[in-house]
Amino acid sequence: MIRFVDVQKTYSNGVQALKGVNLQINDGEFVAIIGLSGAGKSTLLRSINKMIPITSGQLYIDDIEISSIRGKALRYLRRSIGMIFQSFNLVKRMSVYNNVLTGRVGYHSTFPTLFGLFPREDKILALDSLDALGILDKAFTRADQLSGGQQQRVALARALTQKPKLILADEPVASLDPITTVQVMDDFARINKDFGITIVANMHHVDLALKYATRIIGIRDGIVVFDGLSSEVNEQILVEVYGRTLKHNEVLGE
Amino acid sequence: MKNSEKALKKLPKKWIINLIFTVALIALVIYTLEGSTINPLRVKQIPFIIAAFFRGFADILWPALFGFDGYQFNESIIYLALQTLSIGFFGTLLGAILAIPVAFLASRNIVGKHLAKVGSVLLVIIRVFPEIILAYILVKGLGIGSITGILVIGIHSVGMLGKLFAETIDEMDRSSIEALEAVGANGLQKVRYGILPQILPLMTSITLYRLDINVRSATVLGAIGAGGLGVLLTVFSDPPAWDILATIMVAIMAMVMIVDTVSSKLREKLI
Ligand SMILES: Nc1ncnc2c1ncn2[C@@H]1O[C@H](COP(=O)(O)OP(=O)(O)O)[C@@H](O)[C@H]1O
Ligand SMILES: [Mg+2]
Repeated sequence: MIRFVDVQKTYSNGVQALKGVNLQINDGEFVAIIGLSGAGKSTLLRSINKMIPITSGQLYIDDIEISSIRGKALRYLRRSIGMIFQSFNLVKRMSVYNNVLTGRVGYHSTFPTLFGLFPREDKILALDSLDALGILDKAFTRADQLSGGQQQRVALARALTQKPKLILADEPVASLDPITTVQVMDDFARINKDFGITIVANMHHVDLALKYATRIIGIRDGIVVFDGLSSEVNEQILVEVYGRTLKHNEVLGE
Repeated sequence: MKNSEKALKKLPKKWIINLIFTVALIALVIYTLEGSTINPLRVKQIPFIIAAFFRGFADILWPALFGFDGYQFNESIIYLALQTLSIGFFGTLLGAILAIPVAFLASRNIVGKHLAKVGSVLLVIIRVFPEIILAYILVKGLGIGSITGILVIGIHSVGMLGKLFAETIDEMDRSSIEALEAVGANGLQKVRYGILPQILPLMTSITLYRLDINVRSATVLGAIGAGGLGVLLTVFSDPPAWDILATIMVAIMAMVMIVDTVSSKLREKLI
């Protein structure tokens, strides 16, 4: 469970990206965060695993307040949270398998991992994750040889290998073509259902958010302006989130 | 005036710079020629020297590969060629190891713009300091031998290796490091999985390329006492023993060709 209590974030240049956010996200939910570019979606998402530290307020993960944790405790928090990026963020010159295996580094002491030593269970786990995403046959290919959709699946496999209870995704399909987008979103839905992993995803396209997420959080200028079920979202709410009526093609995400 | 014409006016005027360079180049050539007096007697000798050189190839002294009279195996061409090869190899290795800390010092990504200037200037100084002068200094100070050769080549290589290593570090993709941080990796783990896989293959490739260069210069440096095959060039060129010189040439060419082939094959694999 994630709980935001009056969370604020002011960057060092004075930009106020979050202006008092209150939220609760329960285990197993599939939440999409929507809003204009610059609304504060990435800041909100990245504050959950403390990739961005908040300025004030409290942020609880399973009732542990995370703004004070650092060092080992912070790394333990992060290893239990998968993260997916718009540009996949794989180590390009490394094999798919080794990329996925890095999902385990947080679970081991420095020394063995420096020599690339992982227990057998970890190796099996990495290969299982690849299998679950249908790319086991690519295990020993170099990551940069794969298509964008395949690379995002490798990133998802890396996240799964962490055995996370939560996956954060910052615009996971923004650099993919429409067909691959649907495939990767289906993967997210499957991971949410089959593994019971909570998904929080920043989404560019409203229609995708509505189709896949069960809950929508609309954010505008650092303020949560809508928080409810996907089925409750209507034209008027979109106007509130985006500050204007969306053109047909924007909603469809063309 | 159309916008495009206005933009055309604003284009940098390259021809001025080109003109300056051309004039400077011509001036330099004239200046150089003026200083040197050509001795017609010597010019007449050139064809004979070339002819003698090629005649040397006709009667190559194969046994010299394995040893000279009185000095058996230890001072053979093959032995000295292997010594040159080792000087090139260990010199390059030393250079690569020394270049790593200097490269970090010259990388904007790591130490920031201002400190990186210091590192870059250091690298420029090393690069422009003539290798042959360094060799003279070290031969005087440390004596004739392979260790001197290794040091000369090692130190001199830092200039180029450090610069190219620093560029590799600066062009590193930070996104994979971000991902590792999100996975809960600690500092060393980030270096091991986020940084090394990116920069090691490139650095190895750069080093192999430098090995090529260094084996060649190890040969020449030997001529002034830095160990290896080069010493034979000095010993047998006054008066010239063309047959032995040709044999040495063959050995040098074979050696350089082998290193060249191996290094480029390995580099292909790495990139
Ligand atoms: N590192 C940063 N330093 C300063 N300002 C930032 C930084 N990151 C984001 N911002 C600003 O914070 C606001 C919210 O950004 P962000 O969370 O990235 O929005 P979104 O993901 O919705 O596009 C924007 O005004 C952005 O310019
Ligand atoms: Mg963003």
